[in-house]
Amino acid sequence: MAATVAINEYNGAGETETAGITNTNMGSTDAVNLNPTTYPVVPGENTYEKWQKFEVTAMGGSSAIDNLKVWRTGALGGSAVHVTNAREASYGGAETYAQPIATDSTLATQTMPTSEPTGANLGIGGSLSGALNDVGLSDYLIHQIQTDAGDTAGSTSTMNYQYDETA
Amino acid sequence: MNYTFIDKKTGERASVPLERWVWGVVHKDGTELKQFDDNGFFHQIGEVEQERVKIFTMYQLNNPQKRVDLVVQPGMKLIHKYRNVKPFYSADFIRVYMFGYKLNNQYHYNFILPDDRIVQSPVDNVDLVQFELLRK
Repeated sequence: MAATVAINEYNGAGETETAGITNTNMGSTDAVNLNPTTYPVVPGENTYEKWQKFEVTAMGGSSAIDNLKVWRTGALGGSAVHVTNAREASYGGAETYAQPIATDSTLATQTMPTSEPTGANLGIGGSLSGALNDVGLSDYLIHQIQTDAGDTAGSTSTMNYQYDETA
Repeated sequence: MNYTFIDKKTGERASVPLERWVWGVVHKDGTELKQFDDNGFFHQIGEVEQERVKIFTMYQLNNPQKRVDLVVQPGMKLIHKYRNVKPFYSADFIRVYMFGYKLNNQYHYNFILPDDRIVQSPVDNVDLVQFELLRK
């Protein structure tokens, strides 16, 4: 096999890990693979933060995983903003896990890109130029949607994740 | 079919399934190195001695009609990677074969999509999500 890579999500005070998430739906509860219609966000409030990582569970003959990028397709409606700790400049390094919150995130403070970033915007080992040469994990990706009281409820998740693999 | 990769540093072996598109090089002396060779072994791109290469080829092992040949010029730095994208419309990562070169500080990239379309670009950050990657 080539490298095996999945997106993991972490929830709760105890950092419960769910490996290989199938969606990144966001809502008014701290839960993985949530149903956003069951947990809608009241306009003016925020979603709970998402704490996620890339995980390499096998290299499968490849030598490096790097150039991690995350972005969303299309902007949100109204004045809602999708914020993140992912960024191409002034990267804050690897964050330490804290239970996801629904108040304004103090770590996810930059707007999520709406097109593919030029370079990596999520680090490995605290650095955007980091690489995984064996099984391991990326830094935490933290993101949150912050809405405005005038916004209309309802949004489709359009998050994209990408990595390069040197084989 | 699976091929065997032997890590030259550790001696560890890994089983590597055949990729849909693979690379091969023809050296200036006529010898060849194939990513998935005729003896059942898998080779990493780092094994290619670029200064010896005359032609770099991307091809489908099971369909010789599908191939792209790149004539290598002096000073050309070859690029080959797998770009793995998990677009918002897919639950899984989708593999795109990326190859190209750097010459005189200029880049040329090719991206082979899952339906074998080839996207060319002078920049690395092509937003592949827009190309309907689930199309086959």
